Amino acid sequence: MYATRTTQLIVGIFAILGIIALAILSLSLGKLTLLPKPGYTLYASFDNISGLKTGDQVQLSGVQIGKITQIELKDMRARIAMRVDDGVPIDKDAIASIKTSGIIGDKFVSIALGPSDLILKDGDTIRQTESAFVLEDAIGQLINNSGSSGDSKEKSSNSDKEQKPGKSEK
Amino acid sequence: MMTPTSIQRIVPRRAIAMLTVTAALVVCLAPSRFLAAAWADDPMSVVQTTVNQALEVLRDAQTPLAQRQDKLRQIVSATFDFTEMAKSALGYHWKQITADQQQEFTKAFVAFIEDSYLSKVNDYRGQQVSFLRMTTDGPQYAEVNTDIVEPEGKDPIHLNYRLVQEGATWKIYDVTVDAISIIANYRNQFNRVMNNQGYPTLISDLKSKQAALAASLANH
Repeated sequence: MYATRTTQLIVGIFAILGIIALAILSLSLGKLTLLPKPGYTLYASFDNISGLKTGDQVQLSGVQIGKITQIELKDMRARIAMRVDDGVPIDKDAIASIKTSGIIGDKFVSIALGPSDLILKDGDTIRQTESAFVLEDAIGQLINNSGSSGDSKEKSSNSDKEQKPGKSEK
Repeated sequence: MMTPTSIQRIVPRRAIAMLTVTAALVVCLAPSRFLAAAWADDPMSVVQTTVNQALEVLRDAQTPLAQRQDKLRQIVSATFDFTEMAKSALGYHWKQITADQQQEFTKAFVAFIEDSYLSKVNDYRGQQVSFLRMTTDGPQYAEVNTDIVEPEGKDPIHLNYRLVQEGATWKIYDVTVDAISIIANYRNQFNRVMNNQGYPTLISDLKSKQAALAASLANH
């Protein structure tokens, strides 16, 4: 028995609704948006971004205000582009620091606003930056420094009096 | 051969007078312009001079401590822009306090920073400084990277100076120690206190810390 025209229509509508629901689910799971939030792009250069990725958050006072949109190597430094939401003014003396949520958590860029009245525009650069704190480097340095200070305790007793100036100063 | 009279015939008297005045002006002005340019275009030499002068004072164990501290204060205050550092350290809260409070904060912050480094004079243990490189960010900003080479084979400390050109001179406005910016660090701390307790707590904390440092300096 063939389905009536009304049944075919209802099945068709349900099929379309299903496809729409699937599309919304895919977009939300993939954290994609059809229409990007209105915003502007700022740039910042760092000596070390230590695993920061595109899509990571830009935060101000712990609140997300944007995302990292591009990372490139320029003049042997990491240059990042970030999309900042419209209506969030960032001044020219702001400091961009790379932070980690928790000890091994995701990296994000934290903005600390400065005292300037000059507000950055689309395409401007945040000049003052603070690179990522690399835990492995800090541990390595701690081990090396605590190890070597023990070995050379005897040598160091006379070192203050026997300084050789001008070894490495120019 | 051309005689002076023949020159005068070819070049009119007025033109000679103009040339003479121009030459005199060039001779008078050139040295000062040259010196200004030489001073202004080299952030590396500004840092080198300051650091080497400071190291000289630190090594001079013969001079009484108070005199060494005075010398160090003069050397550092000539190159560091402490007023701008105070303003930057307070961040956006700077605009929320009154002009009198801004003055009060700047005075307290500068005294605190000065006493902080002066209290370390006796901690010098023969460290050397290597001047690594200079990078510029536009015509007005520069960064000089240095390493403090520790004795006894310890890892060096990476110390970078950030400078801004103010007129004809370069001034240091921030220092990063192993990638941690001093100004960013103070800004985060002050931000926390300003948001939670407000300006009166911040200024009284800063003054009491500075008083404790000043007392320890006086006891040395």
